[in-house]
Amino acid sequence: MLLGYAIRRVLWVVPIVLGASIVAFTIMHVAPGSPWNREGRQLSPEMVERLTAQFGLDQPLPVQYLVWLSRIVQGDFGLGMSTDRYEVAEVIGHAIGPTLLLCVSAFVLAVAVGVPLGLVAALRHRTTIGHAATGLALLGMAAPAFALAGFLQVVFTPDYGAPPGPLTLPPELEGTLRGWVLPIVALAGLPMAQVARHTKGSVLEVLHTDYVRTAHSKGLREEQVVRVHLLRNAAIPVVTIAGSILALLITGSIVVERVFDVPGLGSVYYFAIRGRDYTLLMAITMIYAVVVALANAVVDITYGVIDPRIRDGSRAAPESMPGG
Amino acid sequence: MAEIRAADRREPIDLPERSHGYWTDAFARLLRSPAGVAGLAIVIGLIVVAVVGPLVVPYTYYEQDIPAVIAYGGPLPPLSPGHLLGTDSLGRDLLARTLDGAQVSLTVALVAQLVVIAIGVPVGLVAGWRGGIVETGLMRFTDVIATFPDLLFIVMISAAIVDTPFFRILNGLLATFVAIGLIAWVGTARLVRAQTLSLKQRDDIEAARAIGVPEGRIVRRYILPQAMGPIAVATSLGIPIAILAESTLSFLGLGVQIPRASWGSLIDAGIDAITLTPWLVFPPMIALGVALIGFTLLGDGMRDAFDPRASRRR
Repeated sequence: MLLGYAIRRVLWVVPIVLGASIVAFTIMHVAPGSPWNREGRQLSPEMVERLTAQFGLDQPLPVQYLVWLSRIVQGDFGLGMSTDRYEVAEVIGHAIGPTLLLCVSAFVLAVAVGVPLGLVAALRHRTTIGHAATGLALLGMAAPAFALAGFLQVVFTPDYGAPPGPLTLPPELEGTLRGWVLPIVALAGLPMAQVARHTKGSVLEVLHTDYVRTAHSKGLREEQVVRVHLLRNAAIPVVTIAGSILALLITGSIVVERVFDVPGLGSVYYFAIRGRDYTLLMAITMIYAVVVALANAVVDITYGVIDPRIRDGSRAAPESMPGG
Repeated sequence: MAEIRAADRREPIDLPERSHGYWTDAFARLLRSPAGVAGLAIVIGLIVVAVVGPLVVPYTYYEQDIPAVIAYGGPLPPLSPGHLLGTDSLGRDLLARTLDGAQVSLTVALVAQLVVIAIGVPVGLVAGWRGGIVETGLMRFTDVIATFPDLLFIVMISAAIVDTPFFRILNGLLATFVAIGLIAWVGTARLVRAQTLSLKQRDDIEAARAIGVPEGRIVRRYILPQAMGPIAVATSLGIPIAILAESTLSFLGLGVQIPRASWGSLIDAGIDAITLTPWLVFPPMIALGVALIGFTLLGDGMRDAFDPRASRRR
């Protein structure tokens, strides 16, 4: 039963990714302007014609799309469009590892801190501790990745002649801290706040249900109520935001990698945008599309595991949060 | 008498409320939540500062105080004479630039939301009311957009249009409105469609149809007013997202173009030398943080105010 649901849900990824690729491809190719003569670069008309033919940009749009799609399915992402030619696939191959490590660590950190924070904020609602937890989560809302990244850069000033910050580190720790710890913390800030806020809201909601009141009145200790009745039911809305957390991590990683010079996919994306390298941009976008669509499938299947009502179809899976 | 006085002393929330109309009630509920009031205060404060600030500060955002920078030998630190927050390396007053960033961010956030309403509400109404191919097409499209980080599409649209002469109007502001609006309407359309679908089932609407009230009139007079609350909530919750999108675009060099300033482009400009001249980055960072907190609190407050059941649970 669950397996059938899981297979159907994973297959649904294919049309979604195809749709995303059509939207992205159309945006890129319908837009006015050419990728060749930009930022003062003046190429001769013959050169422009040759490049246009070489990249197949003279073909009708649907033909271009199908050619591009058939190549990408075979793992051929084509050549970059900037002045020095490189295999896009190769660039991405080098960059994907650091980004994956960064995002997974930040996700774990955001959940590991955010869930307890939200739980405390809800269970100690309207007490000093509760207010403190709520305030901490709110502070995280004000810390999008590049603000937090900049702040951390200043607090942990590296020791190269600059006036030392409040916390200057011994050089042997410096590399690990700057290369991994700070980027992960900077990336995790906003997702952590989202997880905490969402956990708080959903726990408060469950706290006021009849079955929790019954559990209390039949004399269960609070810790038992939380463990048996509350966590599982409160988990469903929290799982809903996993998709939008992933979106925050992807967009956040672009900024964080730039600030901390992490050689990952986000940095490549930043430079692809700066250089208007459409081949590279499309390739990265498609990778993100596949990852996000698969993650959403996993989220939906997780609902099925947590809540049997969803997998037998008697209850719809909650829609993902808008605005991710 | 004693009974009435006892009743008077009860918590106001337990009394049956006397209704003064949909919007007045919602606004009163907003003013009763401390977080909502704080959000409202921050937002009003920001708007006042963004409007009045540039009139008070003696420099414009593009004026360069070159002699001062040469005399000092670099960007002026905060509390320099005449420059409260210091200057950047071109001698431009940082306070003036941060204030300009406030104007840019608030303008983008509000105008982008207008674009969102202008596209999202009609599409949602038509899809929900008519059904058929419009609805199917819309839902498939929103499925695609919703399963994908909005910001990536917004970045792509900006990257595609930002260099064209037409979109250079208003220093890139126009391109930013369009890029955000073209993607963000999807959420509002979904919401309005859902609202329309549920209202369509109600007896009063059915009665109106049965006695032959023209469809356009039903949608305008009955459906739209009832959907206004959720639309207002969605709009206010969309503002912090639009602000974040705008500053990320500017950080990537795609949003507002020089010489205008945006919090995102100010942070980008200062980030490489952040350990040497941290004062260049802190004002826009703090301003961005305050704006995000303010609009988030206000949005949460609005949501609770328009859904009193939810607010009582919280």
